[in-house]
Amino acid sequence: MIGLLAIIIGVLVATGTYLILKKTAFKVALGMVLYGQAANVLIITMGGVKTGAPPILLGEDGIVYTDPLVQALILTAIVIGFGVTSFLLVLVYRAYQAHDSDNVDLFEGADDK
Amino acid sequence: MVAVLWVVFIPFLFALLTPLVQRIAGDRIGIWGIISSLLTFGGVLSLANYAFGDEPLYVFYEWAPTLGLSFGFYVDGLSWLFAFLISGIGVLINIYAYWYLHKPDPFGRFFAYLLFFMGSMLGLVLSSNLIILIIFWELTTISSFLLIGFWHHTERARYGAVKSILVTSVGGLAMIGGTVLLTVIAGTSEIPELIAKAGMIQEHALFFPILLLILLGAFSKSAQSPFHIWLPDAMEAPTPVSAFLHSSTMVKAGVFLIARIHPVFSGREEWTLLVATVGLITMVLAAYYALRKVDLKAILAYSTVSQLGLMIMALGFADVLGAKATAFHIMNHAAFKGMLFLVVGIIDHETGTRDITKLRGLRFTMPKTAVLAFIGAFASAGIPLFNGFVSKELIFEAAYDQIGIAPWMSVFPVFAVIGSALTFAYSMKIFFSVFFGEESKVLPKHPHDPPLGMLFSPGLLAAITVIVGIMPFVAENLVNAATSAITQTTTDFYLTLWHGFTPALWMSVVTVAIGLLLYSRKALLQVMHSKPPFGLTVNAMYDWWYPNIMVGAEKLIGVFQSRKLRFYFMYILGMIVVLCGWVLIRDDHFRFIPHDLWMAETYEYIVAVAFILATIGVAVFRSRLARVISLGVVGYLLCAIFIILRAPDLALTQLLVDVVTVILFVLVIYFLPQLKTEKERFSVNIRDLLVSVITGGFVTVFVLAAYSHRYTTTIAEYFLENSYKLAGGTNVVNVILVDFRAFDTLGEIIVLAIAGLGVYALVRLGIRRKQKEDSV
Repeated sequence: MIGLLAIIIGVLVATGTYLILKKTAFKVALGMVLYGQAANVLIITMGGVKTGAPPILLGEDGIVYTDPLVQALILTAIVIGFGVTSFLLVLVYRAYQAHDSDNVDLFEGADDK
Repeated sequence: MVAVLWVVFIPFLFALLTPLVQRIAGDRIGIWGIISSLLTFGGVLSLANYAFGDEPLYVFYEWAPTLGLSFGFYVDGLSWLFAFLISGIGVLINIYAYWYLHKPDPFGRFFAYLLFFMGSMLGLVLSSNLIILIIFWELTTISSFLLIGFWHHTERARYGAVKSILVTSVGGLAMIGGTVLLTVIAGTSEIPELIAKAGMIQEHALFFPILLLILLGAFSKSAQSPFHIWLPDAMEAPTPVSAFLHSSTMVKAGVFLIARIHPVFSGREEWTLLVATVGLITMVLAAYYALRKVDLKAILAYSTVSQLGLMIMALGFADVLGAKATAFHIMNHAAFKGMLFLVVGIIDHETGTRDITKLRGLRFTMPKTAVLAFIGAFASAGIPLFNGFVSKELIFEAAYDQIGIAPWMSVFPVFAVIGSALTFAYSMKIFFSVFFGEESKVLPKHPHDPPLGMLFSPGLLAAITVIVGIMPFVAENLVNAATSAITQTTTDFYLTLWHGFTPALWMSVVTVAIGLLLYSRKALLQVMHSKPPFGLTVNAMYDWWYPNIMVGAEKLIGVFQSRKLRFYFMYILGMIVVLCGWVLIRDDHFRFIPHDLWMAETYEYIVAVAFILATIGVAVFRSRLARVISLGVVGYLLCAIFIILRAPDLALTQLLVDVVTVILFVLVIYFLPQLKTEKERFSVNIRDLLVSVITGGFVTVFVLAAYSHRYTTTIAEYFLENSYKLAGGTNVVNVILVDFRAFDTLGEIIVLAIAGLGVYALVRLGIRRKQKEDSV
């Protein structure tokens, strides 16, 4: 399973990189979302893959649970990632309004109208 | 103790306050400079007992103790001698400058720079720590850059300022390297402690590299060959600046440093070989250049270089006499050269030129100036009854003594005589060609003696020159104190005018004889028209190097600072892949390969393949909507992965966030018109693809390597154990978020709120703009 996850993370990063390297701001935003997801999967694999039951206590002894800490971290990351994405999208929209373009190369140095 | 801080920080403080005071004082701001330098000078005088007493003053404050760095001051005979010269001549220069500056010059800035420079110089000579010394050293570089380029509207001043800062910083960088090495092997950068460890340092294998690097700094600052090229061009500065920087302060910093590290390094042959030889070469070459020049300030510039060479040569003789001769000559040179600069300033100020082919017969119109010039020139030439004679005689004596050490060292007395003969000749040229002969008719201004204020400073220096020349014993205490500090022995010398018929006296006689021959018209003409040896080549090298390095730097910056975010992103990725990849290979992290690498259920394979296809779909679909749908699919499949990995809460959250994210993207598509997408070139696409595949592949390898290496145990056990006991919750993830790490969650909420506010503000801003545009 870890081999599959590693490939999934690699594909997410590769696709994200490819999109971020594009000129179009919209594609850059898409790439950023993929990067966030890659980070989340990466963190959860670091807690071990399928090493126990979901971390919801059942009150019995002898049950092995998976690492709850990485899950807590990712939960935060998902929410923050959403905040960043929404901000980024509005920025793309505003940048288009200000520059009449969504080419990131043209954003730099242009005066605010 | 307070006095040291006073001395170092008063000039800085006054420099900072200058702009404020100028609002009140206006053009009389010079008085502010005079007050400040007088206060500093008073502070230095109050420290005198540390120089002449038995115990030097050594104070320090811890600064960064873990780095062994302290902010300390050390006042002994040597540092006090320099502080005395810097602050004393500083007073005279401030007084002189008050009368010298003309109306359109920005007075306030001038005095602020001057005080800034004075404070840096004082900090340099008084600091007890080599690292602190370097900081002040670089401050003098910066402040002298500002002063040399003071008349920055002229091309030459800018050229001179840039040249001085470049040449001296090259040396400064070498010096930092040497100092760091020294600090590492000695375990300290405190000068008194370094002196105590001199034996160990001299035995060390790195002795020679350290010595060489530190000396490079000293040589570049003191304009020793081949670094001398910056000093003549620095003469574009206003003359009071030249008098201050190039007679007694900035260029002497190198001499000071060599004297300061003398007890640490001298004694080995390399010291004499490097220091004395470079001094010797510089002395002779620069004296020869001085004789060729027709601009009075250029003559003085080369003369200064030559005299510095003389002092450094004497310091290179690792004996007490050499140190003593240098200490004495430092004082005397500061007096007579400072005065000569000021006199040249007067001549320039009152006649409008410094060209000695135009200046003639000024003794009729400027008698008082002529007397001063006479004293300065004769002291510089080394004629008895002037201070230059006594100290030069001592240097001759020290040079003569070297013959006894090794036969090859007889070059020192021989070339000392030749250099001094050249010095004699140009000194005579300065005085006689300017003040004697027919009165010149081609001067831009009608010459006359300057106001008393401008005569005061050179007059005082002239008086000192003569008094010390006739009664050298007045300087005895100071010279002894400085010599003791340089050699770390107690010395008790007597300075007298008449030593008897010693070899040194005969050397002086020969010097004058050769000098007179050189000064004869024919010889002088020959020197003036001879082809100079390598000195000008160094200048040519600089002139070739400077524009080329600028162009090269611009090209290099163009490569790295492409002003395109994409390229910056690529550099970052490249560094991550190269550096982390290197570590992975170096430590052989590839011996992992868990045996269950590919072991997975069939449905897990299906999810993974779908995930990969959907992800690639985000990048390859042409329509924006298809891309967004694909992104939504990726999000849902991520939920599936979270469920497989036993993370129900994450799956739930991801589901919600994914829905909202897709909606947001669709909204943006709705508002953003389909712009004409610029077609990327095929090669660019291939390049991006390559970068992406390499990065993705690296991350895959990295994940596998990281997964199979566990260096520490997880702290998850703690949460699992205490979740119910302490917080009464069974969903451990939730308990962590709202209880154990509640503050983190609060931070998260704040971030989200800020993002929300940002989104709201940006949207509103757009709407208001639009309304405004519509109404116009």
